[in-house]
Amino acid sequence: MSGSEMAIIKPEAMKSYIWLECADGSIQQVEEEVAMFCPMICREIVQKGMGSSKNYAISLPERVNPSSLSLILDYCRFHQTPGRSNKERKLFDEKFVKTDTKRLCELASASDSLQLKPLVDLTSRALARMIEGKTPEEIRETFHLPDDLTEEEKLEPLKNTTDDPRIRLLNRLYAKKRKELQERQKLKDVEIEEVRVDERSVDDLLSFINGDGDSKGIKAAKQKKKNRRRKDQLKNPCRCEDKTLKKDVVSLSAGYRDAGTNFSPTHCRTSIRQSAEDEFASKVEFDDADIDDELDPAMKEELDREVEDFARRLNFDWPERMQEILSLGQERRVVPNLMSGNGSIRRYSGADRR
Amino acid sequence: MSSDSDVDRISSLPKNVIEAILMCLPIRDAVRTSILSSGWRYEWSTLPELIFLRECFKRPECQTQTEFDRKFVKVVDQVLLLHRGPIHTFKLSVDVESCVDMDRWILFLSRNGIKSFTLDVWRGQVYKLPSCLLSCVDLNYLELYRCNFSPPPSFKGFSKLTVMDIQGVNFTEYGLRTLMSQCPSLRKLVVMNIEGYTRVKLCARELENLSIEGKFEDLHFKSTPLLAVVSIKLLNIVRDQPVTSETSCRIVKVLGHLPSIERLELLEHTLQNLAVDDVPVCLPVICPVKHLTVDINFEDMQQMLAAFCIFRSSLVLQKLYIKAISVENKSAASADGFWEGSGEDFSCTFGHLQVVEVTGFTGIASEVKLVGFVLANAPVLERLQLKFKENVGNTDNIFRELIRFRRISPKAEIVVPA
Repeated sequence: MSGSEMAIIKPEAMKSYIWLECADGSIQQVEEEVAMFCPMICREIVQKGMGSSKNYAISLPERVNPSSLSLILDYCRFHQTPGRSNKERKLFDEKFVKTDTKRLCELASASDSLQLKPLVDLTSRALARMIEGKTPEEIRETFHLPDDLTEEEKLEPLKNTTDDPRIRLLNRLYAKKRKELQERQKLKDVEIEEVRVDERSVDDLLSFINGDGDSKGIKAAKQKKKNRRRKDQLKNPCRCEDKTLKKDVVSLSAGYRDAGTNFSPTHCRTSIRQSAEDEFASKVEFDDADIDDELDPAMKEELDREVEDFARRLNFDWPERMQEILSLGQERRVVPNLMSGNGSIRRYSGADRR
Repeated sequence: MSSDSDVDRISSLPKNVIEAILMCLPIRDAVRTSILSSGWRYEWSTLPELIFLRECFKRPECQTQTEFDRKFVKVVDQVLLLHRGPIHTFKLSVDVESCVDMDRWILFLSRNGIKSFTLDVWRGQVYKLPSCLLSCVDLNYLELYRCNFSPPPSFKGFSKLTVMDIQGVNFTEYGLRTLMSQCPSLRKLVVMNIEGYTRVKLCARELENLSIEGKFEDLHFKSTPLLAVVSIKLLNIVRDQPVTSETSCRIVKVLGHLPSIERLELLEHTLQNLAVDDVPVCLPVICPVKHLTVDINFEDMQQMLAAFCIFRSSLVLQKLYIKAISVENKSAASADGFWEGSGEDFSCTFGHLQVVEVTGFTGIASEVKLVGFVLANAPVLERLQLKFKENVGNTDNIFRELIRFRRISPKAEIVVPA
């Protein structure tokens, strides 16, 4: 209806109408009671007296585009009608959200800026349903998310409900990783070594998760063994993409998985750690395809065995190692890291508990 | 579809929408969104609700309980460690057996503004709540199952607590007393499986909904002006008590101080316990209850007296649900004498009664007489439903009597479900 028509018809209409203007300039008219269903529009009408004519149309927030607006108004129109039963409303809602993700996102965004909470909840629930139970790849595809995390970053803690020792080890390492990274932000004056270790441990996982592809088994272990022997050099604590360098770190700290503590390896400890690594590293296997807990059974078995073996060795070596660390710990006084004093001990007690 | 359909829209949604989405997901999926893309890395970490439920954490057959416990502990540790910001809701209802880590988690929560705390200890030993829980001043929802709550004398209640649901919780006297009378904002209280407390005194100005079940001797509504829904289930039989120095008898103490009551349930031995003292003909105040559910032993004179005391005082009663129970109580005076005398003596009209349901109907004289009485005195009755107890033998005689009863309400129907 054109404006002039409205000018004639309006006085005779039973309902009063409100004018709404979208960010792109298009103006729309809607029954007042329908528009009032949106708190934001309601406020504009009541508090500021806007919307009564075309010139004083209520400007809607930017995120409300015309197509979303008409859908939202449909929603409001349905729900503000008094006589509807709960079942009817539910059916309407279900049909309303049976649409593509683009539309759902636009609706969610628009209804949020209009403060229409029921619709925000409805669309959020629909979007959540599209995420629940899916693999990350599926979710990325559905929502066109960029796969832009570094491999390291992908190793976020997993909610692992299968009894997979690999993922268990992975999770412990993650927790440790995260904590170290957070602490790093807080303790700016932490020794660089510590930081370096952070990155490396993450990278270790990284390499196993993605890069090494099929050779998830023995090869990876061997690789670790090799890396382990390299001497660590202090590095800038930024997250660099240099995988080879990171491998060092990874192999070094792969053994820390159990403790979940933050500790600052220093040069004099390196050797101890490295020997510790021998047992640890060779037993650790990671496979990123199993973020979704689908493991190749044979692989799983092999890893299980390795982990068990590893555990036995740990337990066997525990007293000796303890002695070494303790004696070393006493020599080192300078470490600013709060955890350092306990780190080694806790690490072993963690292993011991295995 | 134009190329703009390949745009990532979801990551640019406003923060509260993303939060709403993540909160609809079980915690596992929510945390996993951190590996979707860089934009999603830390979205989950500021979620104010952390909910761990049994459905999401099931122990697989091949795993021992200890392993499961350990793994679960690691999961919760990680989540808490990675979390940023306040945590308003924390629910833990998982089949873990050892609870030693919970102390640490509760301490963490107490430092992060916890408002709603649920802890269900399904297996293993009863868990002793740490005292740091008591310092959660913002707590407004507390749900516990199988815990030990023994606060020190310095505990002065939770001032913001509005809903409390404690089941299978062991209290000290002081603990229970404090929770019942020093939580001024309490609106809903559910207490189940409590044992060994002689006096339960309720003093909660805002309380609207109460459900109490367990073994206790005395219940007193001291100050509950807004209490509208009450369900009391006494599991123990109170022996005859010597008359105490208290002025009012039990039934008055419990039912005489409920000015806002609308729904009342007196289950199991509750009525029997209320009927122990001399039951008055009528309560001193009108009881505005509209829905009444009561378990009556029809062969116990005292209980019949008490029931009618309540009926007479409930002038706006609309729905009445009676369950006939029989208890081995030889000391109960037989109810035969109760029904002697004409209808006028009872002076009880069910002026607003519309629905009556009797379950466990066995057809004994007292029960049948009550049905007859209701039919004759409920002018707006619409439906009277009788559900027979199992194994009631010959029901023909009972039906014969029922048919004869006069019905004062023209709309009254007697329904006997098959």
